[in-house]
Amino acid sequence: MMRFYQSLAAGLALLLCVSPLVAGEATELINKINAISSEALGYPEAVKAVTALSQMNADAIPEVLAAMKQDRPVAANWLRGAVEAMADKARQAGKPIANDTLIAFIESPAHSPKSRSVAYNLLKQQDEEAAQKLVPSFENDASLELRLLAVDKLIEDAQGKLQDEQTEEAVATYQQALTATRNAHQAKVIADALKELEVEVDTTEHFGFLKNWHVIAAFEFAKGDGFDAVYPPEKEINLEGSYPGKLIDEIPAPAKWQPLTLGKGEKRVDFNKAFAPVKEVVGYAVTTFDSDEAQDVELRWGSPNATKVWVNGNLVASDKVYHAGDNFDQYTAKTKLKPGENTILVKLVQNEQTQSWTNVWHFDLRVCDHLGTAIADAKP
Amino acid sequence: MRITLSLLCLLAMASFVSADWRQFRGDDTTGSSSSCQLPDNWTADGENVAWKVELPGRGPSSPIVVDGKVIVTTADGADLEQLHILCYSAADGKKLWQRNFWATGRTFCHPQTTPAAPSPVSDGKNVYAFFGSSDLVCLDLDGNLKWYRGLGYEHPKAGNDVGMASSPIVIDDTIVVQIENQGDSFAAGINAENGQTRWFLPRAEKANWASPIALKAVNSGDESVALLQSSDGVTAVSSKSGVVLWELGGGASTISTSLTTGEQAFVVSKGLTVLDLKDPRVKPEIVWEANKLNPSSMSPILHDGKVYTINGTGVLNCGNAETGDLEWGLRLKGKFWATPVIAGQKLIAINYDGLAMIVDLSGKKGEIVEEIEMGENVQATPALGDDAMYIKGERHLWKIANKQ
Repeated sequence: MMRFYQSLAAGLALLLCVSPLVAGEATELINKINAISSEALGYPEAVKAVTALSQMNADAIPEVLAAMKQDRPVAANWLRGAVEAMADKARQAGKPIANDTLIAFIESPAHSPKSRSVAYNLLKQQDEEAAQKLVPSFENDASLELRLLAVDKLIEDAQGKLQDEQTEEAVATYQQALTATRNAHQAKVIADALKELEVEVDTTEHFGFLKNWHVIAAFEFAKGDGFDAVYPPEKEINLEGSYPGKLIDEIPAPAKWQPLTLGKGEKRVDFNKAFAPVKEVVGYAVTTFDSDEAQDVELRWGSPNATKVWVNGNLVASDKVYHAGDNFDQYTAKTKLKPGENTILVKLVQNEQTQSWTNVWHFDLRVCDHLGTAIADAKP
Repeated sequence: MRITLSLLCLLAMASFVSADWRQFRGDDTTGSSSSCQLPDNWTADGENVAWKVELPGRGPSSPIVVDGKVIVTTADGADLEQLHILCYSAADGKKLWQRNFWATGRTFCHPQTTPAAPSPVSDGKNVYAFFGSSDLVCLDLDGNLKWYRGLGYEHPKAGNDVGMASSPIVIDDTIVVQIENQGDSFAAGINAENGQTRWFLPRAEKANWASPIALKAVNSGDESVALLQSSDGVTAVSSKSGVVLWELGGGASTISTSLTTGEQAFVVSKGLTVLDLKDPRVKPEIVWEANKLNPSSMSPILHDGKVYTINGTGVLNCGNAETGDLEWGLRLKGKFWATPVIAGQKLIAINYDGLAMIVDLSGKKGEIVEEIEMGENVQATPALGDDAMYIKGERHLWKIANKQ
């Protein structure tokens, strides 16, 4: 008799484990996942929650998707894992989430870009044709993942028009694609195609790389201590100033500011060209950026050298990394601009490495919004 | 009668147990399997290809084989921010599940690599997939997420823009990761049950791509030891507590990864240095050093009393594992990233261009007996299974096996 009750209890427990829960029960589980902190607190509770959530039926998917927050990327991944497991099980059971539900979710701007992108991929898995129909509507989407698809489609359309010898229409479509893209690779593909068609494109301008600088060098690297050493440009910006510099033949002291203006298509502030290819030196570049209004912006820059960046005298980033790569938007710092003139100062440190690939001393920098859209300098 | 039935059941079960290859270079990290019998030849698109599948995304991480499932990681997307974990049936190549996540740390890397450079690892229950963005994912073998850890989100400066590649290991329910670079640099022990940190060890702020290895405990109940490798040398830490047990200076490779037999560790230092691990908790004696066995970017493998390395000029060197004496060298073709594997008496070395060379080890000196073009770049070290080899190229995953 005892064995019977034990078996019954075990059976019921098993049934409870595998039975899909109803959508309304998802909220508490989601909250446990969204409560995890960056210090990995709340994980044991979240482990149980994601296991239970993953067993729910497809009806719960919209609620889980809607709980994905842009500012909680780790929790968003937990929820994505749960959603994909739920969708897999629903498909295998022949009860996938309805296309209309997913489409409504994707089309709602109230939902986060991350969640809409996951919804799109779920739709694509179960009905590729329905997903493809949505792609043109992503041209100016807040989700860069979705926008990428729309720009790819525009590029494809432009190529098709070219094949049909509709050159003007192709140019217009390429230009439409360039306006939409926030991706460096896509912009290059488009710019190269337009160049072939003899249409001038300045991707430097498109991405908002700053072109008008003053540069000064060379200060002492001091066996690496120069990164933290405070040289005169960090205390005052006086473009007429003259300062004791590092005593090297290639860059005779004293150090003085000199203008450096980039041409069309150029984005790189190259100290090796402005001064001389030298090692173990510190340089600075300064520019002013006129803002129409007080606004939150992102500075994005790339450099193979160590960098520090100040805005209006406030240090916004410090990256003591040498020769580990030089990428588009390699570093990002959120900052506030005041109305009118803002000063942006960059410290650029070249180290002692001797390999051939370390003979570089340059950076590029742009001002943009959180999507990477260039913000124009309001200077006349 | 009942005993007989039980025995029969056990035997039946045993016959279905497939050979696992749960981490980079296999369960024992030697990179070899004496029992694995591969075909003498194959072609990329037909002969002795049991199945071939196209991969979404790419990455140099190695496949692993667990309980009849082949698990791989890749990355793609505009900024390589889409991280994929894919599981295929070893039997027929059917995709059993795919899970996708967003990188929460830095994804910049050299064009030849992606954040899917570290190889996943499994303890037989779960798979732990680590990415160069310092994202660590735990899934069960059915693809259900158990936990997700954004170590790159927690440490935003963790990242080597050439691309991080250190593969994690799992010892005694602890995942050991090495995240060493010019920014936030550390090693950590992560609780396999829930993803929480057991220990955190700051490390030198220098780029390092080498993976930790597990040194086995001497007695049941002893704390297990993880060996961390860097340009400074090697550091032995308790896998449960992260306490540093001993260190050996003198420098070590920052790319290729050491191996251990449990009794000895073959450390990539001064070429190759063998340590006597009487008790892995105690600083060991050096058995031998062999500069001529320097493995350059590939990792050493061990088979039948011999240690094999490929040097920077593409020469496959065979050394005596007891003495470190160089026995023979054989020039291979091309540049290598993938570490070779040995199945039976065949060593398979696949260069970056995708040329697979089969080296016969049965004679006094190795001899290339076949060359096979895979048709795409190969950076991943293959995995071995039941008389099968899984090759992961830039775009495809192959199962190579004799047709049944």
